[in-house]
Amino acid sequence: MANLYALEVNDLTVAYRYKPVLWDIDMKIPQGILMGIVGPNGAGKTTLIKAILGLVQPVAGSVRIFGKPYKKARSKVAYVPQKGSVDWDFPTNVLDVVLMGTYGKLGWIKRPGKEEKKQALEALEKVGMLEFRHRQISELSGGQQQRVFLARALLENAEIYFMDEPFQGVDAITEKAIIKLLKELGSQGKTVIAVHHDLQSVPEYFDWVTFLNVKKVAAGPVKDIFNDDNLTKTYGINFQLSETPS
Amino acid sequence: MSIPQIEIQFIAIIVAVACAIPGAFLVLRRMAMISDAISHAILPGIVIGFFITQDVSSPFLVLMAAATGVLTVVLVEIINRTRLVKEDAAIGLVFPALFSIGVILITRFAGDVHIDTHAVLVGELAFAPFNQLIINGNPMGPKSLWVMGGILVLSLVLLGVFYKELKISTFDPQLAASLGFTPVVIHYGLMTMTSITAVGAFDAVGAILVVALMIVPPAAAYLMTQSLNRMLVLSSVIGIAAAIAGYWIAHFLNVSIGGSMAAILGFIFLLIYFFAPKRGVISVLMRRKQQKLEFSMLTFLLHLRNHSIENSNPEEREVSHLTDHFQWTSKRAKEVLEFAENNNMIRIDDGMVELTDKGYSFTDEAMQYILTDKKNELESMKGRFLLFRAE
Repeated sequence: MANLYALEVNDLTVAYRYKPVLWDIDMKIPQGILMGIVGPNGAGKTTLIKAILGLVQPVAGSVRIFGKPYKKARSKVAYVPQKGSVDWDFPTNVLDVVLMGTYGKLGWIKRPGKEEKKQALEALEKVGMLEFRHRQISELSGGQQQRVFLARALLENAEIYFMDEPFQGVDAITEKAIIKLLKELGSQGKTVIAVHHDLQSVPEYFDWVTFLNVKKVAAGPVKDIFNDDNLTKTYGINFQLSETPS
Repeated sequence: MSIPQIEIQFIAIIVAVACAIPGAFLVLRRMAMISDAISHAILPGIVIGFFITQDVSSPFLVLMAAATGVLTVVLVEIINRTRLVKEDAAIGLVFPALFSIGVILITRFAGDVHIDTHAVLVGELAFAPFNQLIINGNPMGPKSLWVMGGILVLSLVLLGVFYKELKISTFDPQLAASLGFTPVVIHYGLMTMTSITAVGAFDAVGAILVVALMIVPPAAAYLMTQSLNRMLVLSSVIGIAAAIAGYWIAHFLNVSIGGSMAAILGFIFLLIYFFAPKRGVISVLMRRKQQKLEFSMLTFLLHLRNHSIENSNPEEREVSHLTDHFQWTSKRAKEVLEFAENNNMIRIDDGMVELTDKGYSFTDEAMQYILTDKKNELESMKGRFLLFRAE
């Protein structure tokens, strides 16, 4: 397992109606790192995650998770979609949504029982949402919604976590709480791959970074590749990190 | 009550519950109009099935019709995927085409039998008891009771078995797909069940009123509850209430049973729409009004705090200040003052307003609430003032 990559993407091309959204992406991500994917709007960040998880069909290319195709590695993967992708007016409460994190392991038909509920409450405690367990999801703030999604992903007890904009629309305190959890996952040897928007916080939050703009510009350890040159190549404007306040 | 009367009500109840179950998921998936399309487009399936079996309540008919129902959904999706036509327009293109084929087939080839265009539109529940299921020469009750009962049992079993899958693929289809629950399968399963139910219900209430039974009870239940379980139960209860009330109103006024059931449903929906405890129109309006009053009070209290006795001009604390500087009408100023005084937030002494201790601690809390995002710590405030509650 030691020299096995957590994620390998080979020659991945995705197109929406003949316009490439991702073009010939190659990446090899080692285990146990926190990686941010950055790039301008429309760079294909979300599409990359969806293609890895088989939610969009690629034109070409393949994906390996711990050396296996996604369908065989499903139990090792947790996914946190953008919180805007669901209807928060759905008639249900916090605990129920978090319990959905157990559905993958349960498989078809079996329902979550006492054990699953216990785990769900533990996950809620970890994200600081235990007291909200009976709250209707329509009454949550943006930060609370994100914590619920995170608790749900924690419950999947995966080896690799894919998160689509986990910091979008959350307050500063939630952002800190989330990053603390991600670092914790990292220290347990889990791999976290998150779509990220705020360039300033990249060096603080992540070990690795992928610069993406339809094509992969660069991927590697933050300390090696997070520089003006790559930022300029990705965003197409002159970037000077030294002048951006941190 | 005579036996046919009991039988008719029994069928109506079963139809109502059977419709409410798939209907709840259609409403939550924002696919309400698909029920309209399916309920019409199954007609050619029913007619062709009838030509083959010569029996309006044959299970084969149900299968044929269900197949046309699913065909409708597939056609809508194919047209929609070309992106030349939007989804609502695609629905509008497909079902009238299929429905018209059904109508033409009936009028050309089956003008003299039980199936006629009028029955198709409004149903003939009143005739249901005349069509008995006969086994070994013994009448076993109306055929449609058996057909519809079978459909309801099937629906309940599927709901029980796939409840978790239905829930996750409705709430979060992407997560469902990533976990391997293939939302496409659930989607077509639901469409098939909707079609099967529409065929059964169509016999009882007709093509148009099926939509009422599928959509109105869940839409009303959605306003009453915030749990999927309870939404399903409440939808069924509303459907049953409308079925029984509808039957008796039709009986006394000598009108169509299906029509009167749908009218009752509409009436129940209106009641709930206005009077639902949390989401009803009246409750929402009252809450907004209360929030506005509370916010006005808070504005005033914070102003008083800024000009409390130690540090500032006394004229800022005069009662008349509310109308002069705040530009509030005297009615609003009076309301706010009374509200603040009743809550012991202020003391009014000779036209001068002063914060009480409670007023001070309240404004403290409020400022903390506004300036921090430590919502967990301030949970306790939410119970006391609507202002701080999420809408």
